Amino acid sequence: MHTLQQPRFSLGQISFLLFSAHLFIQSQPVLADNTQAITQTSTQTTTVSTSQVATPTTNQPARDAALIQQLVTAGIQPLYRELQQQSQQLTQTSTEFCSTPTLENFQKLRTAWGETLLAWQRTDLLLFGPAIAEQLDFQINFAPPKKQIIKNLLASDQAISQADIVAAGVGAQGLSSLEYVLFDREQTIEQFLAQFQETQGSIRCSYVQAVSALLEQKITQLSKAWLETDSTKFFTRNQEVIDLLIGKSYQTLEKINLKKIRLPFGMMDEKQLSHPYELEAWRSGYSFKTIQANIEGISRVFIDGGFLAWIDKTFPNDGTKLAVSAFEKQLKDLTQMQLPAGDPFTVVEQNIESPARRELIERCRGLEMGIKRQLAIITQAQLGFNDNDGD
Amino acid sequence: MQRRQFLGLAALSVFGSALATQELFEQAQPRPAPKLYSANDNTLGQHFLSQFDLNSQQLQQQRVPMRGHAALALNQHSALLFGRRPAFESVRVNFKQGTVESFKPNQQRHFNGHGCLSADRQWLFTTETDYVNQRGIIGIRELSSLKQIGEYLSYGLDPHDLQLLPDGKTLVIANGGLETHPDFGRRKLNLATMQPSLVYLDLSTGKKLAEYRLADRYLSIRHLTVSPQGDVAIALQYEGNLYQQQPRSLVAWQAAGSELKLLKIAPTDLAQLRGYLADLVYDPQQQLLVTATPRGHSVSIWSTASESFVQAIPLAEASGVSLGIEKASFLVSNSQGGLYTLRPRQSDYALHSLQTFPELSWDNHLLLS
Repeated sequence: MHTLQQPRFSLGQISFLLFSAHLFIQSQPVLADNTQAITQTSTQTTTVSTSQVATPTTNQPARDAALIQQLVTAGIQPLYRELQQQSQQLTQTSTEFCSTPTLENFQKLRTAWGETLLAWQRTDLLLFGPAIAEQLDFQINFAPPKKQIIKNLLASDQAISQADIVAAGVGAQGLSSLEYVLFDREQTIEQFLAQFQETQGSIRCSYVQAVSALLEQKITQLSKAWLETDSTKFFTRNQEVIDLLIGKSYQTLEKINLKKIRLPFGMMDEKQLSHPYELEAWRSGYSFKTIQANIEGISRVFIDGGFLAWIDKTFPNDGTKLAVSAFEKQLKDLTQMQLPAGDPFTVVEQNIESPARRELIERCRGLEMGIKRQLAIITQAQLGFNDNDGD
Repeated sequence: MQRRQFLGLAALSVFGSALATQELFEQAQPRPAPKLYSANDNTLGQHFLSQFDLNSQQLQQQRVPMRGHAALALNQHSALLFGRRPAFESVRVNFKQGTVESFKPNQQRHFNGHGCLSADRQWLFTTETDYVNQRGIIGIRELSSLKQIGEYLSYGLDPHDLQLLPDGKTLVIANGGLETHPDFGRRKLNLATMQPSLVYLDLSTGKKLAEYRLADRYLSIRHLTVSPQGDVAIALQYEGNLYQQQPRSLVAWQAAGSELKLLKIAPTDLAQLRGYLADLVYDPQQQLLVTATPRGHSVSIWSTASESFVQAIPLAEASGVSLGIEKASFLVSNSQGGLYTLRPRQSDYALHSLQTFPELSWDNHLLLS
């Protein structure tokens, strides 16, 4: 396990400090009077003109077929293949549990749900194209679930069908809805299991089965778009690859730091009050694991998919090499680090400090800055504070 | 107060007079001791409305509970900040007292980031979305109390910006055309069928006076500026796939009483703008429009005289623009904390650094008052 001894700079800062210094030497904003744009320079901020850094190699094709092929086959398709397999496993496990509602089968069902959740979280940076067509992503994971709609369904005196779930809308579908009916922090697993064994237990089980089956359908629909068609067509130009992967991974990291860390940990609260119910998957205890899964997804696409190596080759200079290797190391370190021990809800609620907690926070922040301050600038990626659609 | 009651009240006051509107325009001209207003975030992700005194170079920040979008100055000490969509809160900030007064939309509505005042400055109009019934709304509030007294339809989805015409009787509304729902964050739910529109509304009755659409329905009509003569300029945002198809332009212009038309731009220049313009401002003396182009990392200049694009000046993540203090100049912000002056230089324009606050990210609009 990594330990931190109150570093002078945070882990997150170290990598981009090195690079920022390097980059800053080379680049200044375009100003008429050649004045320096930074009048109150801090160690964390560089102001660079995107037109002045990391000029791509001149013989680069507008669409690099080799890059896109590797990206799809080695980076993206494996993630969807695994997601599809996990969702099939979840459906099968829910059927087995509902036919034999034992403690062992319940635990298997919970595990299968968790693995499906993590497989989905690994695709978080791929929320473009097929994933958002027809709002498939919301049908797979809409959070928070609409509790009252689910309660109404569970109060039914008849088995719940897939048609009922479809009619109920996304608030009663997908992974978060399943978490709501499979986990409860207020009860022991034995107590909770009893709800599936009582008179209404079969109704509850029919809900779990219907949601799982519908979930598998939606995941299969999404996975097929990547696995059974020429999915390289989703990337028409190198610049589209850059904008999508840099932009979406930045959104993933921004979401991690803002919504999965800063908000629940009370880091945005003037009184520093923690908000454990803001944690994603707080009922199941998967909150920190989903963060790591998000990073694993970025790692698989950026490293296995050859994207980082392509950046290194396409925008050659010392700064690029430094930034790419630092980012790759950060990805690997974060996916391999030991997560804070204990139930995330309790860790946040009781504000339990630990080196692992600090490390998680620092490393996630470092990755976000690595994208924003380095890779986005090198690749001239479409990324910014103010350019969200519609504002 | 119901809509009918409000209409009666409106008929009496006609929301001020054309004369008052003229005064408003005169007040909007650059004056001594001017201040800049803009929403901003800091590196911790906290939200602020900031006031920057151009004479003293002092920055005053007031923390606010939501990420803001456009600001509207009320006097030397206070301003409104409209929440960035989908926002369930907007605020009135008093910098002198350090107070923040919140106001909220009615149930099942959210703010869309912009508002304007009636000519007599007694009434506030805000762009809102009724997300249950999927329709655009113009909320009407008494400025002094910020109490909502009624609402009009915007006659389109996703009303974003709105402005009062110089006649003091007509609102012009940019209906972006996008369907969204707070449950789904900022996801655009109707790209296949979106229909942006420019709508003129009778302020006293809420009746639609005219509606205009562009041929390319993927060009979302987002931001407006109105000249003292009643001409309307629009900054557009392209919702199609830029990697497959470029739009024809990103600025539309409607001279008073004329048709809505796109300003001309060469495809190579257009590609540099990356399909997205944010803030815009118009200098009627020079007949120039200046727009912030955050995705294109530039400030772009357009001539309404020649009805065409003039020049793009590189600036990383340009966000807000306003008229400058000096003649023929403009002020520009960017999300890297920079404030700049844009001045003429022989045959073109150039940026000069004014001040930089590296810990701040200026949001999409900059207001000089």
